[in-house]
Amino acid sequence: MRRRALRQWLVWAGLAVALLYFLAPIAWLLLSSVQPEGDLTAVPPHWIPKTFTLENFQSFINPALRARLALPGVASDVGSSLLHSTVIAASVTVSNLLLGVPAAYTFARMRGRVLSLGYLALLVMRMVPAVAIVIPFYLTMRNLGLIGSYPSVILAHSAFTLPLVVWILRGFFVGIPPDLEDAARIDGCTRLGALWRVIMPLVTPGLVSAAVYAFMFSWNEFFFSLVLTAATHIKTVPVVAALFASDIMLKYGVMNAAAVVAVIPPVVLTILFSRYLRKGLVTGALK
Amino acid sequence: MKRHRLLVWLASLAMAGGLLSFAAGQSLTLVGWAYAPDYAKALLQQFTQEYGIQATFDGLPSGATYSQLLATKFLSREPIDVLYLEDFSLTPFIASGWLKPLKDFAPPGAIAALEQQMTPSFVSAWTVNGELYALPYYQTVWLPVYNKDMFAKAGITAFPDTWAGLKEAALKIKQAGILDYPITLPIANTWTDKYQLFSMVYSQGGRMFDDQLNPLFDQPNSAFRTALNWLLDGIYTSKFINPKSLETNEADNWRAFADGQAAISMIPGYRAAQIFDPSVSKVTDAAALALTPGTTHDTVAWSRGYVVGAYENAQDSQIWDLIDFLGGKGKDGTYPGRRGWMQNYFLDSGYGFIWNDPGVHQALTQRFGDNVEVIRKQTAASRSLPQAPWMASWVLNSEQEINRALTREISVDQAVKNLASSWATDRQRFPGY
Amino acid sequence: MKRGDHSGRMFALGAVGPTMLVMLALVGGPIAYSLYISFHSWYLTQPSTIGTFTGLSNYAQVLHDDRFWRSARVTLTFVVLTVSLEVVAGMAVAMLINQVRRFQGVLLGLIIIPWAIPNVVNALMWKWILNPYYGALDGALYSLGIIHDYTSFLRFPLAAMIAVANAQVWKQLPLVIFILLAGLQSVPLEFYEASEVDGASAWQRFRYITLPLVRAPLMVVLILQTMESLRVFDIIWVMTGGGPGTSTTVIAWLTYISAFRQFNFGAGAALSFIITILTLGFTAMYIRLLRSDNS
Repeated sequence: MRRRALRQWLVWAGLAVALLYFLAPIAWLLLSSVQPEGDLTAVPPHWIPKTFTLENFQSFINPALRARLALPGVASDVGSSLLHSTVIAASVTVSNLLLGVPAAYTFARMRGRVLSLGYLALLVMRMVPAVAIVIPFYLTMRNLGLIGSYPSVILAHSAFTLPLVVWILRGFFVGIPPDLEDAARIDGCTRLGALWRVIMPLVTPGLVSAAVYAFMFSWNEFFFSLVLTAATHIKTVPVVAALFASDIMLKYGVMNAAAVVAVIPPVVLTILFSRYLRKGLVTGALK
Repeated sequence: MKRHRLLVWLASLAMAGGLLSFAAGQSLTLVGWAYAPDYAKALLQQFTQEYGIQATFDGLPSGATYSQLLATKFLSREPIDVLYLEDFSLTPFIASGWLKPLKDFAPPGAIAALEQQMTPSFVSAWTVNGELYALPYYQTVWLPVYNKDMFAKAGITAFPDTWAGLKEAALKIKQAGILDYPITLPIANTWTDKYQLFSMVYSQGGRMFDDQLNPLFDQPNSAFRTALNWLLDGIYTSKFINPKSLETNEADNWRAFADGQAAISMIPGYRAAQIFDPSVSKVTDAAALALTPGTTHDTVAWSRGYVVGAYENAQDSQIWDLIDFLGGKGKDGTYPGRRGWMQNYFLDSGYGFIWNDPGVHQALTQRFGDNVEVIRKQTAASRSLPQAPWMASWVLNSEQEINRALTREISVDQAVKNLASSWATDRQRFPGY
Repeated sequence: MKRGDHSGRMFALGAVGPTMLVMLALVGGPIAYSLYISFHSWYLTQPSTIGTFTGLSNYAQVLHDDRFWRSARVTLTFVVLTVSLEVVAGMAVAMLINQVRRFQGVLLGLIIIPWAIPNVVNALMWKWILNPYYGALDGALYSLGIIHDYTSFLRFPLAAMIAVANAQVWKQLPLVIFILLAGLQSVPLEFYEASEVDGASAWQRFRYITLPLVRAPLMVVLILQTMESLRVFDIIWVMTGGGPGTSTTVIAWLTYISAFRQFNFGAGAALSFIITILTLGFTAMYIRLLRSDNS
């Protein structure tokens, strides 16, 4: 009995260390964002803020405050970047689901050499690293005159989210027994009708999982967003956050505040939907 | 249903975008880095009032990414009218076909008249194939700043005028227990690496290249090697240079000095404005500027200019009006842009006589006191880097190789060899240069 | 599909076609275009020579450049370091979580947070912690009396490599933990109980029961994480810019600076293609592995 209790205690100690490793850095990010610039240069740091302020966040929406604090020029872009990122991520999610659901269903249900090859090609294309296609992608967008427009970024993100969405959804479709649709089809439904009426309600967890993943990936994406938007009016949130750090008028308080702004939507989404996400990722990876 | 709505939404976005760009086409665009964007916009408003032409300011991120972002804009043939440009980007951008010379827009004689008033180093830096491509945005030099109080405490009476003397002074301060590492320099893997090194070379009467653009830095006992070795000695052997310098960029460097964490440092001239600003600096009374040590006291000057983009689609006279207002005489001959930036933000205008303008002079002495004279003297004893189309690429390599030598990943000999060979390789692609 | 299943074929075409078309346009096309560029001269600073066929000279230039081989070494170090840390730490934490039944949901909900954070913010966060003048790590060491003066970390090549590896591991661990946990949870309890009855030690239990049964998820993790590590870019951009010197210049970074800072798109394309081939190699292994395990 005592050995058992000791073991449980050790397990919890180990988990505490793990949780500390994962959460302490984020806590410090938050604490740094609510301190004024002068306090952030204290030695040693104020682990618990002596002065608690929201001015770093307020400066994103208050031009007078920005001038007073002599902030980097990119500080005025934080507000609009939230809009751009939201629009782009939402568009990516919706369009990818529209394209991905029928494709995933087909890959899950139907057999055939062409289909297998297609799925294989999809997986392969998912694995290509961003840097390998950024140059031609940029040149193509330029030739089409799309630089500085939402579609260029939406397309760029979709290149990576679409296979992922199909991959996750396929795993979920595979997990639903075919008998239900077969029954519906015997009753006279078309294949599409069966899909829409019988299966879709059952695969909602998969939809949620794929949607959240697509939204998050698009929100968090940096490389293509940098190349496609950093010189335009549609900078996304991660791009703005990164540009804070490289500016010659660097101020640490707002840098951390911008980071917090960048982090909140994906973290909130993840916490709300963590169970769906986990299931989706694991199912996709192992099936 | 959803898909239909999406398409409609996308289409209207595209239309809105098209309309916006059409509307924007009626006004001139100025692209630059977002330093004091409110002042840049205020200047443009003044321009609109005087000339009746609309102009908008597009503020890009500053730093290393600025020229990359410009490159992406020009790759997509964006019709930029006037833009800020860094001096080392001039020849590569011209070679890529992204800029137009000023003579395409200026009324006869206007450029010559302005050139006469400009500092010679600006003219030489921005003239390619005999044609001037820019009017000044600002110009600055690399120069030392030191803490008088710490010097006094260590018993040093004057700022040394040799590099050996500088080492001695630093060691004295260290031995007096004032600071473990009296000198901090911005020599992280960044753009200031090369200004530090090259200034050390020039100040000893050395050169990086000869008049035919052949490397001189790789010769045995070159000033470049001496400079690298002086830094290595300071960081690792005699230990008077703060090792954090290898991770310190220009933005952190002045802050460290202004916090009293360094007795001696080197800064861009414009940075003095923050060091003598009581609202951000703790050493406004103790700080002082000095001439770069060395036999000639020469240092690196660099500048930023207003240039015209190759894809501009505005009227020639309007473009000249804008660039002349910002970087030249202006309609009333008062050099509004030049005086404004110098008086309000202490950025050297690139025109010598503006130092004597009453408003400017008062603003400068109020902020810097006697140090104004030091900046003037250093500006007179400064040189800009030579121009070459492959310079931007070589500059990137130079920052890396300098950093590798300073972190002792490779020896000084190896770094010098690599730099010379990358210069030769890059140069080969431009036969006849 | 059964022969003559025409409506099925039409359905499949309509359902999968658009997706495949989009993907081919977004990824397949660029890969082909990249291959094309890599065989031509594409220096932005010499527009008159853009598009000249140069055969394999871009590849020769890249492969003869010492920077490429240094970069390959750096990338290999990074991959080995991150993947091994992820596997070991991931396995350890997954096993710990497997031991507690009650709060698993809460634990997993908290652990997933690092994975949700954009990689640039991840990098910014660690860079701020490692700041040599005001950073939290220096502050903690100083407060604990371990050092008496703030020190610099990122100026040392070894520390910089560890720092970027740590940022990568920190973000990827949650995913690794979930996959390994799923594997662990598929091991029936009776196996462990029976072995305890037989007097097996903890290590023997691990070696003969746990490891073989989580072999599949482990292999998946190994390959997926290798590909993730090969892709790393954001962290380098923010934390080190490829430095100090070139000690964190991974291949993706070298590709970026060749193309966007030195304006040599030809070399950039050649490098991208080399990375693509490497990645495809790993993908092939992954797919073979999945197939063999599912059959």
